[in-house]
Amino acid sequence: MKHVGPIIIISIMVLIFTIGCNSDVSQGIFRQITQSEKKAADLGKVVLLTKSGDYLYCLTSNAGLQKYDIVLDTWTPLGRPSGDSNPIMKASYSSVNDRIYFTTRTDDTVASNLYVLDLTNGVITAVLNTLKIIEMDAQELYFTARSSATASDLSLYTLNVSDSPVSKLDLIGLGFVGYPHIMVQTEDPDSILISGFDSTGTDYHYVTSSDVGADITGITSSEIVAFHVFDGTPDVLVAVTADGKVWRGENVSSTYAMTEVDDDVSLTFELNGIEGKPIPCFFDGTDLVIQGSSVFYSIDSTGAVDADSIDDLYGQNLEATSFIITSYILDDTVLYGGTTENGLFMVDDILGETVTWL
Amino acid sequence: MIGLLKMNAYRKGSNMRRYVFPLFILACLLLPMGLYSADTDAIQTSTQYDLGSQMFTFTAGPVIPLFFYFPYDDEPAVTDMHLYTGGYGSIRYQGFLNRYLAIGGELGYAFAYDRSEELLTSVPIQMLLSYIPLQGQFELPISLGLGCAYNSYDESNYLSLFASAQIGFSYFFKEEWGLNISGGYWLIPELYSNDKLADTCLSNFLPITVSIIYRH
Repeated sequence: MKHVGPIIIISIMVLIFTIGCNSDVSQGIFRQITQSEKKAADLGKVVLLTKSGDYLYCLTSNAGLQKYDIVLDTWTPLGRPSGDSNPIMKASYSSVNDRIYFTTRTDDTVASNLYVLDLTNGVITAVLNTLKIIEMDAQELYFTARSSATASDLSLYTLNVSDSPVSKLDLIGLGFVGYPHIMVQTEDPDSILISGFDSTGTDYHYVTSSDVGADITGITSSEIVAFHVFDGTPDVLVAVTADGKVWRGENVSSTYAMTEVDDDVSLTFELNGIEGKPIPCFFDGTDLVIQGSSVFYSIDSTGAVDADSIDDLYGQNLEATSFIITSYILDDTVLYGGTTENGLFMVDDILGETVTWL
Repeated sequence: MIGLLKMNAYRKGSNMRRYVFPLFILACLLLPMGLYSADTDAIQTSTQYDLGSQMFTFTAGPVIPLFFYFPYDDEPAVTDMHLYTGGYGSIRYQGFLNRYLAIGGELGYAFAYDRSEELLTSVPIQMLLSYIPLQGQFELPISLGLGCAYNSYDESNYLSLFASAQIGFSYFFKEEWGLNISGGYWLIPELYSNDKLADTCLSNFLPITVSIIYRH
């Protein structure tokens, strides 16, 4: 009996070391450390706009528009509009015009100043200052805007080759209230999804593909934060909502009737600023890919979620909890990523393991 | 040939200069103690301790990350740890079992930043067994420790085993007060099973510490 005390203490210690008291997000502590990367403190948040030749064009939170030379590993500022010292808030690349458009910060009561940067000569010119631009997609020139700073309308716009605004959708007319978010399917810029609320406060979503609009029904509990339209007969929409659920629906009579793919599936990912705001994603040729809290998720056209396949490839060298991705560019099989604090990374081949921090 | 000799001489000089500053600092620390010790004839040079003798040690110094060892990886040893040199501070109490062996405990706090400037902290609590073969004004303590450490990093926490080994050199500038400089080795195993088996890791560190000792 005199050994009861030590036995109890030893048993508790063994219990602690084997099953309890250890909480980590995903990986072991020392594994996480080996995958930590230096913060790009000077640039802040880096959002990829486009890749042209050996250059990656980015909007940074601390240093405005920048051009990164992949070969020389150098950053070059792309200048500012003369006479406007306000910070650059939004930027977007136009594949139609092969130029970068951006706005600077303005008061709520003043229309937005929209500028264009010519990538060939670096010249910045003012385009227009009549619209009040609310949200702008970074990699394809679509933006939501009011027709003036005091107007109560809201439309989805783009610019034509003459830099004149073209209204694509009347969002208020569709039934949206407030400021819905827009998501553009980068590899198919004609697919745009709008996610917001209707006048009853219910989540409401709408998608257009090649200018053919379709209602999204069935998702009324949360905002869509990532999506992909899989081409087919009929087209299939796979969407991820802010609550981590995965939905799937087929386009029948211009309506995607969405159903939850699997009640047991609940994805976890970092919010993009606020809940409901779109999270970065890309399409790798077969699957929609998003960064989860601890792993990368790939989601196929059936809505099935795979949390292992990317982890066996480049995911093992991209510790998902140590940094937050803001944007992707997939150039053939080379993947580029911008991050909130760690600059840029490059995956040499999305079928391989190698990750290079730029 | 003469140029080569000059070059070698220059390199030797350069190597010498590298050690001048640390030696100077060490001399600055030790010389005043020598003055102190001039009138401490009473300091013994044979066995200093006996059953019931006690020793308090206050320690600080840098901790150099050595390597991680992931036994289930194809290349288990990772020397590029993405972890910068950190620091360590501790308090230690030991009581002597006989003339040469002391047993006690140490509570410490270690920290180090990784590449993303995230902080790794470890709070080790360990039982220590020290053997002091050379005693008196100059001592040569050898210690082994075993205990646990509470490790924190980012949003993760892990209670691990903790093992240490240490050898040092002590100089007592007074009968009861001394200084010690030590080098050691820490092993912090992070053990997992099932799905996280691959994250099992033996982390290895090299602490280099300076201590103030009070013995009684």
